[in-house]
Amino acid sequence: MTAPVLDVSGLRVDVGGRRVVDGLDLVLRAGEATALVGRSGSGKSLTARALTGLLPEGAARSGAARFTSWDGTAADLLSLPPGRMRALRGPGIGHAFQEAQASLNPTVTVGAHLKEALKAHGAERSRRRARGLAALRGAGLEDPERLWRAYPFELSGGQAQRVALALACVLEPRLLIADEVTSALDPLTQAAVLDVLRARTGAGGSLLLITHDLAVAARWADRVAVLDRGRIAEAGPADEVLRSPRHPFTRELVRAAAPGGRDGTRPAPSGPAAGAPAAVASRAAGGAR
Amino acid sequence: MSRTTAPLAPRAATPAALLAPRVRGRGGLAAGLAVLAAMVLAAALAPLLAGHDPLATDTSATGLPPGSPGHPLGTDQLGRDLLSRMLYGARYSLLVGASAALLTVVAGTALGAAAALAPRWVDALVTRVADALLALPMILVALTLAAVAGPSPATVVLAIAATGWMPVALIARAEVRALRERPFVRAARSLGHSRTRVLLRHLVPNALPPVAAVAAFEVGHAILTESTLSFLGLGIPPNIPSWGNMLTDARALLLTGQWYTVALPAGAIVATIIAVNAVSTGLERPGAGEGRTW
Repeated sequence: MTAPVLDVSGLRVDVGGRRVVDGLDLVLRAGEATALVGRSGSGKSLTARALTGLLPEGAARSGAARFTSWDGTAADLLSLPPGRMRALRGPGIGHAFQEAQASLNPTVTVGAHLKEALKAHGAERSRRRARGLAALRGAGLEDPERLWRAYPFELSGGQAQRVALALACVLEPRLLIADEVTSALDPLTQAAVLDVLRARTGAGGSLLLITHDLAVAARWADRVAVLDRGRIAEAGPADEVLRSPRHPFTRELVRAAAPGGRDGTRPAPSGPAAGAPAAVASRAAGGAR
Repeated sequence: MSRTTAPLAPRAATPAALLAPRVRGRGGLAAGLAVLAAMVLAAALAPLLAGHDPLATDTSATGLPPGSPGHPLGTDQLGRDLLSRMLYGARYSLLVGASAALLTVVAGTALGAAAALAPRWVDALVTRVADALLALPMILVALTLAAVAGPSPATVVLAIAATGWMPVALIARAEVRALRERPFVRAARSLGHSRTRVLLRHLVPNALPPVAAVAAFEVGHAILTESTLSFLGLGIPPNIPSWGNMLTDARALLLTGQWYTVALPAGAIVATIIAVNAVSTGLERPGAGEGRTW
């Protein structure tokens, strides 16, 4: 078993005096994709935002989250001083958000977004454009030269999601948090974007896939953690958890996702990605090992 | 990797619908800039363009209507050439108007953004002071300033900024507060950008459109306030021509048939305000409108 990239223990998040995340434990390993599933409002996004210190105003967090960077240095995310946390955001932890179009600054071009991110973390000026274009290409965007000059409002939903992904990946984060990034996309684009995400784990990176879609979790994640009422109800290899769920909540979730609602069946892995190209399908088969 | 989906969608969907507002916007921008450039040029070249000394009186040519030989825009009650006074007046009015508006907007935006992002006591301080100043008569504040600093164009600029920054600050504060929790601000922070960077690159530019609208209004406000202060003897000395001083001189002539003595400076002020408005509208980035509808 590889070393943990992130080891969260006893994470608590309070929003306006209400405890939303209550003692969450989660381990993310290098080269693994972990899906954090749960129903809407179960605290998935807040968990992610608590890790990078981007909680909304009036929210408080406690617990411990030990993060190991590319260079092997470990630090507790929850007690890092602001300056060091800032340095980790981007090259340490990348964060891609659900509302892709809204997560791009409307007054700035795609290229400026990428260059700004690279500049913030000291990338060489002469290499910024090439690295930015490579990130766009890596996110599956054709004609990155043309997109470089585009403003966010000129992008389609799928393009915006890929640009946001390129932005989160341009600094090559050790851990990429993808928060419901494919929820608004059509099945084909969804599969393609998930492939891009999955590729992050190839070089020893780690992926936290936040989703309420069990089919996505089944196809693209190695491990699944089920979040219920602010705690991890059940966690383990994706296959195991989704095929034979033990916790009542997981069973309920799996049953609700299964076609026809049959008890205990694995959620339709052919669901959202049905009709995906052969390349995607084979990738998916590997992803659900 | 499968292929990327659509081409740039909105363009492909409705090229005409997307182009039309932009051309219209840019047209207004061009026209506004042309008017302002012409005014600045006229002010700069006043000594060459003006046929007369704007201060020289001529008792043989008082109250001439526009179109009189040698006085294309006529003369005033003291026989001073109105064209020359308009040209020289543009120098003071534009300079005072532009610098006062600039100071107002920069100070207002800075204070508003600070109030929105800084600790709560800064916010409380800025908003309380703004409320207090809004409640005071502008003239009272300006009078105090002039009494302390002495009447001069610089005092006028300072007085206008001191009495005009509050709406800008309150609008900037509200805008920045609304933008603070927007996804793109969160995304910028998730990339490790510093607070200053997020403020200058992501918050302020997106807060500017409403501020720009107020800024255009502030230019007009500044030019008009200049005339009020000059009238009270606290601004530009009455012997120096400015559009405000000309209005003050002409106020008695409005009903005596010499309407042009009022119409000329008033028209120049109105044209300036409209041109500045056109420029501020045109300067909004393409897409900013779409962005703001989220």
